[in-house]
Amino acid sequence: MTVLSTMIFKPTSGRRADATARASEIAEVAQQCGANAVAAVRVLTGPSVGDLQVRMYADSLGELGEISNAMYASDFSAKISAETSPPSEMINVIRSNLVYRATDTGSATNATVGTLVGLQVHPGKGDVLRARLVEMADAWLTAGALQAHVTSAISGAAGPHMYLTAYFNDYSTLGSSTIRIQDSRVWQDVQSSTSPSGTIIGNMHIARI
Amino acid sequence: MPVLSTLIFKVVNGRAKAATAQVKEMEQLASDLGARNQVAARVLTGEGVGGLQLRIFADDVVHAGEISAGMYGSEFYSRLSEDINPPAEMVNVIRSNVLHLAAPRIEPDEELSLMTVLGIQPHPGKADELESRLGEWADLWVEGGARTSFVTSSFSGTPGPAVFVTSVYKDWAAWSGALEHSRKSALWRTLRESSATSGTIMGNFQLGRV
Repeated sequence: MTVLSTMIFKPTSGRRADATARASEIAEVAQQCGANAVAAVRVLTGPSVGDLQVRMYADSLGELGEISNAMYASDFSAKISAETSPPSEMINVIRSNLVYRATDTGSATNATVGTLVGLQVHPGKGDVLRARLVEMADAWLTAGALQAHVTSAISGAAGPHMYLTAYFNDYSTLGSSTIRIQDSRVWQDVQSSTSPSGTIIGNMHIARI
Repeated sequence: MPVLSTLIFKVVNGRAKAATAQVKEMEQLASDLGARNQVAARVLTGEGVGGLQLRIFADDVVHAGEISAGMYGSEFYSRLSEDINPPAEMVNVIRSNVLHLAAPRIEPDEELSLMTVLGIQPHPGKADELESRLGEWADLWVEGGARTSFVTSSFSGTPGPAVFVTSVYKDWAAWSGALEHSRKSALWRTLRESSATSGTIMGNFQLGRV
């Protein structure tokens, strides 16, 4: 099963440019160490606005372990761990299983912006939430997203969490898709439902750096 | 009853190498002082990512006390306590009872690279139920390929009761196999379908041996 590892960084005050360059460098190292796809992004909205993320994909946990070990053993890792004034601090790493992709042919490679919703699963509602997020991923695709996927946290999140991420060519598509998705049946169901299967813990826009 | 002491360290910027060396030195000291087992590890996921832990096992609280007193009385400690520029800061020590061990104890020389820890705060009146359920989970992880898995209950260092299930794996592939195995189990299905929780998950993270 495809695995997503999300490294989250908080830039040091006044070091935003360095922190951005560093995140791009980490993405480059992840790629060199064998990650299938990597994206360095900035959080644009929500309480974590300004934070940076490096999102990397691997075919399995075993492969992710090899990538992680290679990254920790790299000269780059040795260099940054010896830095007394780092431009950012790694504040979390979340590993998740990719449980659904809305299209096998679509690629987020050209995406510049994305939207991400994180939910804490209500007890006993995991399957219901998963089914609903899968429907939402399909709805995002129909509305104009390049790709949308559902992930479920394995490690790094306190308690069961699921995430829905949709990727767009540009702001224009993000804007039109955000309007179009409101016409979908699943959106209207969510709007009128009084029986939630999860609590939203985050709803943010991200942009590739 | 066996006791696990978990020493938790926050690394000073730029001093990761020195901090790791120091924790390894402390690991050796714990061994010299008669700990049953000891493991130095780096936190790989979760909010404590980048931190270091030293996990020391003793036969009981008295044995843990002897090891602790030995460490505080050592030359290593007096050197450490005079270091005005330490590479790491000790931010917590949690002492727990080992309630359940799903497989024979790990020997110190075994090659094991990975651990996962799930920490749960029991809901009032639900501690017994939670401990029993985590015992079943520990057995399941071992059945799926973990080298061992154990349940611990903290008695000092956490605000309020906290129960932990720790699983130890040879490598990432073994962890992946255990996850796959657990998803097919009745226990997993029960958990997915249950709306009556016995605790709140407060941490779920991965550790890599250093």
